[in-house]
Amino acid sequence: MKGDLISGVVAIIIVVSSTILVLNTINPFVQESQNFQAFNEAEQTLKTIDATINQLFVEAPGARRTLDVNVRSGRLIVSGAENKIKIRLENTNLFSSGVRKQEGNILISSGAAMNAYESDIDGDGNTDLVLENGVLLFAIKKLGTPSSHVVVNTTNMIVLMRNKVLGINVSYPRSGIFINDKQNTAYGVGYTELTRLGSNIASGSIHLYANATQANIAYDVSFTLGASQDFIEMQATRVVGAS
Amino acid sequence: MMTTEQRITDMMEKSSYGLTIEELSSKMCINEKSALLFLDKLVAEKKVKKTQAGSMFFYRKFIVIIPIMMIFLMGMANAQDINSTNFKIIPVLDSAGARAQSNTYVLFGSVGQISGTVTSVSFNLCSGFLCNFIELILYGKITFLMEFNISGNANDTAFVDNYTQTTRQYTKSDLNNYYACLQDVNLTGSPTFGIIYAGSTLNYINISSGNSFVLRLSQDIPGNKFIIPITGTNCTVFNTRTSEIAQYGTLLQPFVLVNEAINAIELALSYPSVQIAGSFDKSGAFGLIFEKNETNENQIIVKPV
Repeated sequence: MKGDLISGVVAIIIVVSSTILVLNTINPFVQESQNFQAFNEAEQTLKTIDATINQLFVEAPGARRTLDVNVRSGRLIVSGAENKIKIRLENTNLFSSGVRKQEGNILISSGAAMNAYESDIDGDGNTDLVLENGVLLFAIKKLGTPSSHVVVNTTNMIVLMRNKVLGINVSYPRSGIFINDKQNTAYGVGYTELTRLGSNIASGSIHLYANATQANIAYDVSFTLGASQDFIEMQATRVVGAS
Repeated sequence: MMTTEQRITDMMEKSSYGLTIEELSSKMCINEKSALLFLDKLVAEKKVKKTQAGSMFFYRKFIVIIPIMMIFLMGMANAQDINSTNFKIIPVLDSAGARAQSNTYVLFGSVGQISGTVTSVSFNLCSGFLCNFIELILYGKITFLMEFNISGNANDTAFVDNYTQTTRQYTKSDLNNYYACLQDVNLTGSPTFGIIYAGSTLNYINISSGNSFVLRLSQDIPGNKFIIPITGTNCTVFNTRTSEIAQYGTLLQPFVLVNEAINAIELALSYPSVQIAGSFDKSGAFGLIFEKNETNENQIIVKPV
């Protein structure tokens, strides 16, 4: 009788422990396959949107398309200021932090979050526009607004470049953006703005608009930082005027 | 017996809209690295033009097709607006935009990046203005410079590729890796900053020294991109990544990988010559409306249903 009881307890222990063992082994695979499914769904959604936009390219102005999407994981973000349509999947560990992949018109980025915010980062009493991730901090002076242009000088716009890993600051580096190497294209009137304010976002940009009135040239420049990246990407997205 | 360069040039002549490295290496039966080396040489000699559309680089025979097309297109726009007192740039560029979406998409992709909504002051002025405008698009250069030191200038060293000469203007043919860099190897982790070329055509790079170092990099406006590294290890860390930049127009991972615990993935859809208009975020099941702007053909308006 006592032997049967012990046998029963041992059997239960074996069943329970093997169940726990199996579940512990299977769970990461289940989680990973769920992550993969979410990723594949998100990628497919953006590819469908891409195909829709490509169709509209070749059609007449005013052409319209309606598309039903189902973003079950993450959020779909349409950001005109960044010129992007994005899907962000949180807590998804499919790739190493900081790794990116380009597939057609879709850029896939993996990494922890970054922050884009306004702050007086140098303590001079003026607000600055800040892009910050776990690796670096990059700040540009906040100047004017899209509806209220002020003097913009690209030779003194950068407030701070900070390597957070090594604890190194480069404050107020002289800088400059020149079109055709003309000195008078480096300044004018315009504004700077964050394309998206936010914490825990995947990427953020500072947009600079400068109308170099003396040179009769205007341009837009974006400074972009992605999560986990140790570099800023800078691009003049529009240049208009006379040479 | 034709040389490889001649064969490449011939191949380019046969392709109206250009070829990618992959296409060329496949047609020529040579590996991609060799094709890239030959093409870089031909680009430097201005026998072949390199253009970028999105992440793709295309090579084509250097011919003045864009000005001819632009002049043709602007002629159409002039006809449309010839009686107006104000001449808008928009219809001119929209015509170019429409072309960009046809078979010549790749060709105009880089040009389409220069678009705008600027209205000039009068038609008379604009007729001259437009001529200059074409020149700005085709031959315009953008230069970015930074002047700084790393915790004082002691032990700071500036490089252009492997060179340290400060009186020299470096062009593409002088260099294997297109960047200007400042490092201080005496500080912990060797902080490293710089400007790396990631565009379609390099103009020049130079450096100068003093209390601070000046790094200056100039490139063509069409397809321009600069990478500003804020990293460590020293300037040679850039050498290992410049081929990746040449291939993709960007970096696919940081110079120095840092393992961060919280992870997320972002998929971002964007176009070099199309503006996305709209601002919202949503999840779950919903409808999206895409509309081609009636007054700006380069713009797609996205709205939730």
